[in-house]
Amino acid sequence: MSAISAEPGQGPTGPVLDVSGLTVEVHTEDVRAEVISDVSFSIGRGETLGLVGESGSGKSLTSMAIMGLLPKRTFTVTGGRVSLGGDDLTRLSRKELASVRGARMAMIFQEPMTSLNPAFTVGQQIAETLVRHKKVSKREARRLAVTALSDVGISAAERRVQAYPHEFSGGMRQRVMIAMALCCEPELLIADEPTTALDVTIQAQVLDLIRHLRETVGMSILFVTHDLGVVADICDRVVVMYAGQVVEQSAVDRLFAHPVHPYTAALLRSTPTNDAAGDARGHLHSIPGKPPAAGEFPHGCRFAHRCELALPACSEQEIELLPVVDQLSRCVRVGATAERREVPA
Amino acid sequence: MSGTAQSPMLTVEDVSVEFTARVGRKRVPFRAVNEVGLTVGRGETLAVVGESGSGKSTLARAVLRLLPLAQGRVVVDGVDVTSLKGRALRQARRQAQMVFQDPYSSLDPSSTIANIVGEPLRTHHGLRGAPLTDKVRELLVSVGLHPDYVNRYVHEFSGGQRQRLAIARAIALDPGLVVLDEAVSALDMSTQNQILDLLMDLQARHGMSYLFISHNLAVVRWIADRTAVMYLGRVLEEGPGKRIHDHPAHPYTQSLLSAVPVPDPPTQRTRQRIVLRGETPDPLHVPSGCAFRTRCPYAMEICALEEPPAVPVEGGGWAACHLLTGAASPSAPEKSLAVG
Repeated sequence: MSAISAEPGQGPTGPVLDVSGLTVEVHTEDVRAEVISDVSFSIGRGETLGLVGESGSGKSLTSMAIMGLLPKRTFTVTGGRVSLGGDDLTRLSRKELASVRGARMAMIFQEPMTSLNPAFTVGQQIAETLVRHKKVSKREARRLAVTALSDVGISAAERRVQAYPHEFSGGMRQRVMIAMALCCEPELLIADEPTTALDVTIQAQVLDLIRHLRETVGMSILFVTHDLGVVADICDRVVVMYAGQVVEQSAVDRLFAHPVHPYTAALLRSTPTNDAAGDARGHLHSIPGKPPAAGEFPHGCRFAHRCELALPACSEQEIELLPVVDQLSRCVRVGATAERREVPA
Repeated sequence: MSGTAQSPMLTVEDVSVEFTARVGRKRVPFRAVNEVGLTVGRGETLAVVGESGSGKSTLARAVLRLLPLAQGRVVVDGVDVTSLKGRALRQARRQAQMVFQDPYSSLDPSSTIANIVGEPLRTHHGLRGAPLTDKVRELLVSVGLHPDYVNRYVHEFSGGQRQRLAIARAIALDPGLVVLDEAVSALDMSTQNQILDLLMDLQARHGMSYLFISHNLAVVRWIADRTAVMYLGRVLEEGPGKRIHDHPAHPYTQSLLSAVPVPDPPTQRTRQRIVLRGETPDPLHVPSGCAFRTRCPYAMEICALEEPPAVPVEGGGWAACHLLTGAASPSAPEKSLAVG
């Protein structure tokens, strides 16, 4: 696939992003281990998909792999496809991928300073992106940079395009990063914990901004977060990851009302904003033990040793991700649950 | 040595902490904490909640005399520690210990667990050798860790385990007060709950008091007997934890609570939310009158002119807001909303 265009390769009907069987290995001097195993999901046009999990679940690695940003010395994509508007990104050369990044997909991070250069004004940085991907004149790029800043709610944008990143507060920097990510009108925005480091009142402002931009621009979003409140606030569908695997996938309302996988249920129960997070004696729900480290993933269900519903069968075979009505769940009980659910009430 | 059983564990009276900022060539003093008064009863948890720049961590450090006070008094267990020095201050510090947010940077990576957890016992009680090791093993068990971890190093432990180690060290001298500064903020939710459970369990067993500093009202609701809400160095509202969470009286507390998204999509989509405009002002330019007025959706004329007094709130505690003083007519909020 040599002729990679800046235009989407598929009509408005297909998914914007399709990840299928993505598998990633980490290799250091003495370790070689799978960190992402057979991850598949897709995101439709204008849809926001939440990618949820605790630290070490592989959610951020998955988003970095999609962007082609995993350092090659440490990580290898050993299997699977990532296609954006029908184009397989895993087959692109480094140069071709660089022309897709920023133009057709963009990423925002928890810490905006990782993607903003402290030595240039924010206007110069937004303009550079525009000149590079949109082939506009420098003059036009500067004008568009002002519009981009005011679109993300930064007042006095004409003046503030000339400010340096350090002159902005944390919340404002996040807005600048969003402006930079969206200036080329990408089909896909990958947002990796974009509000985690912000105060709650600023988080609410940034989530409102993302919601507003999604409605006006119509982009698709992969929203990576550990916060189930944020998921409830902004996502349409959710993929739950645990130890490098997808363990559940569901529409957002369904997930919160009827989590199928015991890990999802436990995660929901331990969310402090959940009124049911504590019991009558004041004890808080938590999941015993800790997630397995890469290279130590157990055989069979990777959650079994922490699961209060574990059966001997959980560790005897690999558990498949199977449909349960309109959800997907990787739990040995799914077969039984599915049959039960399919019986008409 | 210790106060009477009736006296509170910690009294913070009218405390201010000043820093200086460089503005151009000038050094300009400003108050990070301004005239704060709080009390923590015995065996009680007081949560201090606020966003960045609220002065909550500065207050915590001032209580432990890690920062000088510009004004006011700090009384720990009946002893005024405000002007203690040298030996007397060290003595007083046994009674008040601290746990920090980041368990990766607050524990010495080159020391064994026996050294880290046992350090206060060595310095304050002169414990050595086998009796010290035995006591450390005991402490490890009390925070839910295996006693054989004594000879290990910090890097072998996860974030949650490290925070358990920090807690073991903090309780080694059986202090009356433990100051926890964002102690669970860096942890995954499930681990966070395990640590909160441990803290509540230790409190039930040893009866110590907690000053629990946090930015997260949702976390605080599970552990706080009382909650104080800070903004720009001031306490705007204080009261029983449950009342603050269920019936916040101050507009800032209300907006903080409404900004936290709830994990229930239909509720989250439909609930009334107060989204504050702008950001916390710079502490060098604290607004006149009520410090919150520049972001308050209900701000009135009086708010710029007079600092609101603390008004008692039904259900316990108080809030400093002109809406509650009767100075405002009930229709005032809507009017000013339309204008703003």
